[in-house]
Amino acid sequence: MKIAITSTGTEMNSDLDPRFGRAQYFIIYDIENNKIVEVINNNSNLNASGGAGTSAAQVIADNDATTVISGNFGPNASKGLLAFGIKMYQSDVQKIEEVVAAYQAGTLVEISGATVAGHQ
Amino acid sequence: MKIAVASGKGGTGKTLISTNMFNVLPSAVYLDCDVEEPNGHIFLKSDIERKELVFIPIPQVDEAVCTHCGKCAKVCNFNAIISAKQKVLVFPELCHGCGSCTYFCPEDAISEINREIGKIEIGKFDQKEIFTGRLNVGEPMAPPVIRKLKEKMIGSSADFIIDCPPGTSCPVIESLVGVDFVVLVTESTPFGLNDLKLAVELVRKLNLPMGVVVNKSGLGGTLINDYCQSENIDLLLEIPHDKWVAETYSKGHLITEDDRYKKIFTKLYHDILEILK
Amino acid sequence: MKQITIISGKGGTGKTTITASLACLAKNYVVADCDVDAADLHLLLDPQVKQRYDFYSGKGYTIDLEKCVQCGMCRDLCRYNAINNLYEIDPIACDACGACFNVCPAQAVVEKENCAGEYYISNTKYNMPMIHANLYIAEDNSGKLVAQVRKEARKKATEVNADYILIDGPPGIGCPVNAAIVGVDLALIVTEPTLSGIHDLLRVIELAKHFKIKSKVVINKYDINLENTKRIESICSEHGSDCISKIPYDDVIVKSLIAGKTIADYDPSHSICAEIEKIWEGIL
Repeated sequence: MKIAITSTGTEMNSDLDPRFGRAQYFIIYDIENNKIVEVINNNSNLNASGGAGTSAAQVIADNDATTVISGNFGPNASKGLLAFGIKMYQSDVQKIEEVVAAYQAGTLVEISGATVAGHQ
Repeated sequence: MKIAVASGKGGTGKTLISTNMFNVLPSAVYLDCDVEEPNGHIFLKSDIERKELVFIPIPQVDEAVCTHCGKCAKVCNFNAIISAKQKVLVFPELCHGCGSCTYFCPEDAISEINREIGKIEIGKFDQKEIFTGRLNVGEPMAPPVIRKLKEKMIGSSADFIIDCPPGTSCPVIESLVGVDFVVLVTESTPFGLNDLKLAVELVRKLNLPMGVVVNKSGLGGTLINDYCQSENIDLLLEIPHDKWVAETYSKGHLITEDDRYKKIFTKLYHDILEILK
Repeated sequence: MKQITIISGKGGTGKTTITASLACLAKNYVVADCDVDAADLHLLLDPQVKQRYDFYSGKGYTIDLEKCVQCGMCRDLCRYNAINNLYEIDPIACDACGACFNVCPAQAVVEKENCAGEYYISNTKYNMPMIHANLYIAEDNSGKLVAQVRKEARKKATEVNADYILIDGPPGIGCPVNAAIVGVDLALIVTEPTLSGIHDLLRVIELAKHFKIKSKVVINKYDINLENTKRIESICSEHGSDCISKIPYDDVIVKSLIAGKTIADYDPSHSICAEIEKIWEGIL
């Protein structure tokens, strides 16, 4: 099972990126095999004039992740992720390895809608 | 003649100039292109005779035909359509109505439907037609409503007065396309001068003839006069700082109901005609 | 940390003058000029630019005439009449949708990242951080640049431990205004007692409600029409937006503007300064 985590870097000791749509990287992590299977650079979205949330949702879906963990999700992103049946979890900023541990321990909060308004 | 009235800065008196110029013309058409905050109708009191809705085309996907190849998402520059294994999602507020997804779908699974973003209210003032554009509150894109208003100019030999939105961005450009002359309204303050320079830069980029009207003149000295002289721009009219003008405007009345100003605005119009010859 | 955006709906009501006056009075804040199309705040706050950044938004397209076979498919597809019969793309008419780029059989359309403006991190004459920007002429998407200015303002505010972010908002009710008010604690609406002012006040109150943001109102030049001022006061109570101050019309405002000073610097004993303090108290 694959989960996606928004990240400011490419390593397990990078920090969680608190934004979803305009996150710097998405780390795709295989839970069963305990390893990173893909690191996606979200560069093209950083310059997008709009709709970063929607296209980020697309990227997650394309990579077969069933769950995303980030700091916040905007309205377009959450609409997209919900429609694709991808679960959203919220985490405070900490190292990616700590985020994974928290997810596995069941201490992260699952959310069902946008946590922030758009344009932030 | 199609005359646009614009200003870099808001609140300099654009609507004062455009509505009063319209009032003194025996026959003309008024286009209120300040679709976020249309104010012309306040001064040109008229009943709304009819409304036209403004739409932009957004995609509608036939899921039965769709193979979820994702081509639509790939060609969309605005991230308004995304596609995953079993579903395609459209985000109407992000859509620019460019038609790419519809065109490039290999299965012809996309058709276009109309989404309402605003309206055009049509009325008559003194037997002359007024078109007021209104963008629905919360809608991000003004240009499509303005484009619809500008369509009224096509094939028409009538005189048009076009009230533009303030500023120098896309809605203003859309309002200025195809006009014969731009009147730039400013005030003689540092803010007025700063924003006039931006507006002049824009109008020059669009290669349109222009002239300047200074409102509330006398307050800030010769700031604007000096600028116009050094840039070789016609200073068409100075309206002095006049409490009566401010009060009349605040009540929603036209200053050209007064003979003094009727003559001044009639002269303004003829001066512009002269320049264009 | 509290975020306050000063908006007006109608332009020219005195937003920027009031923002600058608050910047003179307040302490421990970051000020952001979100009127990126026609920025004026710098004329009063005299910022020294410390850092300058390019602002990229969307794509830009040009046609490589050497590769172009003049088949006309791009022109047929373009809904914005942006390609002329010499196969030149007009950057002003172009909406950057990319249809031409995708359809060209000769791959003659070149796609680039579009540099649409610039933004600055500066220090004002009051020695407070200021974030401001300039959108290039004929560029689209001021909303995104506004969002960038706000992002930098938040970053700076955290860095310096500011108590407030004061945001000078753009006029109107469109996308850039949305970006300027989303997520703030208060929308301070500056209006004037004219019919146009009232008309636009209603639209802007509706916008603030749409975003679930609390709003308070300042009536500028209130004595040019006392009847309209009363109307505005009723509108304020009807809509639950407190009217916290009424500023009289006074030539001293223009005089101080020409001198490049806020009213508090130009004439500290003037009664308008007391109104500005009242506004500040109303914001806290």
